[in-house]
Amino acid sequence: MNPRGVAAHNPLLQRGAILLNVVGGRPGGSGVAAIDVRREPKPGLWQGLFRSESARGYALTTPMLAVLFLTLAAPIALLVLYSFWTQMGLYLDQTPTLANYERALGAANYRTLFLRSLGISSLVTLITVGIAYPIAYFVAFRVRRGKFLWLIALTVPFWTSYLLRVFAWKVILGYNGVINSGLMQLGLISKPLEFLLYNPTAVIVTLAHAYAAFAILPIYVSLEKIDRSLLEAAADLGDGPFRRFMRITLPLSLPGVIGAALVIFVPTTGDYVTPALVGGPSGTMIANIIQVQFGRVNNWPLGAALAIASMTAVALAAIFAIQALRIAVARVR
Amino acid sequence: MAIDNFLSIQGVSKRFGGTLAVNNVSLDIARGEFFSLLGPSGCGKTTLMRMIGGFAMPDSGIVAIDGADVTALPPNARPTNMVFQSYAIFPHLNIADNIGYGLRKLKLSAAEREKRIAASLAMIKLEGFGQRRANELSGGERQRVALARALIMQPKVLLLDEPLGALDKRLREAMQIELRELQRRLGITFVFVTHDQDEALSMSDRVGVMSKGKLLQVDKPKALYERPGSREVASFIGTMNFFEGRVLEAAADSLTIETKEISRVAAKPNGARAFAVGDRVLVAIRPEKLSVSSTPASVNSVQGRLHAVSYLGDHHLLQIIVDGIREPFIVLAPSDGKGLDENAMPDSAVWVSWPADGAIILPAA
Ligand SMILES: Nc1ncnc2c1ncn2[C@@H]1O[C@H](COP(=O)(O)OP(=O)(O)OP(=O)(O)O)[C@@H](O)[C@H]1O
Ligand SMILES: [Mg+2]
Repeated sequence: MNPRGVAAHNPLLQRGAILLNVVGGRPGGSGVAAIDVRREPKPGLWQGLFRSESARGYALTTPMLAVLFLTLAAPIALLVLYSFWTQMGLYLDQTPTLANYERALGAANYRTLFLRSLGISSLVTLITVGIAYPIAYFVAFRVRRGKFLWLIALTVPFWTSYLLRVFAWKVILGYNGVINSGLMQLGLISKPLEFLLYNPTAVIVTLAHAYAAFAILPIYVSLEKIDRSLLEAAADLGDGPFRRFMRITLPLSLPGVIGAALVIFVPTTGDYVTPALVGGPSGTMIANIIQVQFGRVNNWPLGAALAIASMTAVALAAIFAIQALRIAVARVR
Repeated sequence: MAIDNFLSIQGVSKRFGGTLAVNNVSLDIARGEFFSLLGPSGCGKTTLMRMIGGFAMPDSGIVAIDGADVTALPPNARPTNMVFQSYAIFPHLNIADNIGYGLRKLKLSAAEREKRIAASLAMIKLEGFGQRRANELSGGERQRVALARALIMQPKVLLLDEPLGALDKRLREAMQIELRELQRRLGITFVFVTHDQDEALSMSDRVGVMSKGKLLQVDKPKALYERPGSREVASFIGTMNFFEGRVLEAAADSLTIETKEISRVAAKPNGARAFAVGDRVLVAIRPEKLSVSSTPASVNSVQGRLHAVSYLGDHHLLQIIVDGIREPFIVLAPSDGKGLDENAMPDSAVWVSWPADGAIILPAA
């Protein structure tokens, strides 16, 4: 499975699908209802159906659900199926077996990769949300005019291709890169630093940068929505700026923070481009191994088992983290 | 009630860009007083109130509460609490936590906190609503939660910014009575902002009338109605008929005024204002002071044409056009048939008259 397939959750893509819906679904539907009215004065079945809110809702979401089913559910089902089979050279042995999962979860090298991937994406999530929150806060609360321009300016770097941005970091961190040649020019170092590139830190820096815009926007939206009189009411009831932030602003912006964290955590755990380009051997992540199983090694069942295990791990970790965050914020009261 | 200066505002001004929202306002409010700020939309009521609460800093002037200068203090350090126009109920907390929000500062035991919240819920007659969320309450219930949340802090001054504006007429009238009773019982000083003159007059000990950032007049409701100090106040509070004139004779207890349309109007000077012969004045008469008949009266009578009659139950509202006066006279006549002929037709000629002490004489602007 292509781990970047998560992009199907991208809100922009979803909006595109809904638009398609409106264009494709509505006129046909009302057309049918209109014909019914002419033929038969009594409210017919069709008319009843199109009058009902929920029927109309289902009608509008059906194409979307169909697309989701074809592009997400079916491949995942296939993946699950594969993960119980065995690769025998060029042939697949379709006798159900748990051997792939035993290998995926039991082998020490895979476990290391799982933990490293979760560790790296957790750190990326923390760092990115940590950087994005103050920026979003600044734009939402301090900028008075031209908020829109600020948001565009903040996201302009992200209009370039993801790959280009990863390469840009390669250029910055590389052996003959911007940092090294700069420091050498200044005479601060005599030979290039080698620890900049090809390690987990390089992966974290690159990913954190790549996902910053995705974090700023949901947090900004949730902050912008907060009614300013709530903050005044909190001040009126005795809270200083810090208390007010902890008791009002943070809990009310939590949906944005959770959204941002998910948008970063889920795809970064499965990212294979960045670790492949800037990670080096010590920065390899689980998705790189999955890719190898589906590619060079040609062991799809093992690749499938690794992918399913990784997906489950991400889901569990995300649910756990969200619950922990909710409880922590609720306790501030 | 003696006017001591429990809440004292001295020479306060606030400018937003080009608009002077509050223009050199000075005002003293007594302990335990129910004070209303009344004025048309945009006249600076909210801005003045926000400066009392600490949400806005005055450009100049002083705000003092109970003898302490609070001008530079933030809201959380002031002995005031506010009921916001939008109620500002915290959506992520239930009603009990909303009401208890400000108690954190007092570091109460859990049991004491619970007790106070329960008492507060009982006060606003919302027992058993503690676990609900704001969006599960009606507008009137939300308004009471906002009130309870502020009152539980036992503020020295409670600020209310059009707290009843979002309620329907019946609920608003019921809440007016409840609020007034609550204020009497608790003895807390209320500063109440409204643009509804009936509300201000019926609830308040004193009313301050504002217009375009200025505080025009501060007085008891009755005095404000019967002795408005200027044309603006007179026309903002109740309905008023105006015409201009010049003082012809001025004695200690009587004035004779000459106008273009009505020769020699007899009037009595009201208030402490003294007029001299030749002064240009404005004659202001309430609709209920005017009477209408088919024959001229002995004093202050003017002939006009009946323009429109509207029935208001126990009264008729008449509009009478007098040649030379731009606005028609508005007359409130009892419906018992006295005065006006029952079958008076539009356009029939009638006489409008008023007693000498029925008119308010104001200096012409
Ligand atoms: N934050 C602000 N920035 C700029 N101008 C403001 C601001 N707050 C108020 N004003 C202006 O100051 C003037 C007074 O506003 P204010 O809100 O005090 O009026 P108000 O008497 O409360 O009116 P309303 O009855 O409509 O609430 C208005 O002209 C308003 O446009
Ligand atoms: Mg206002």
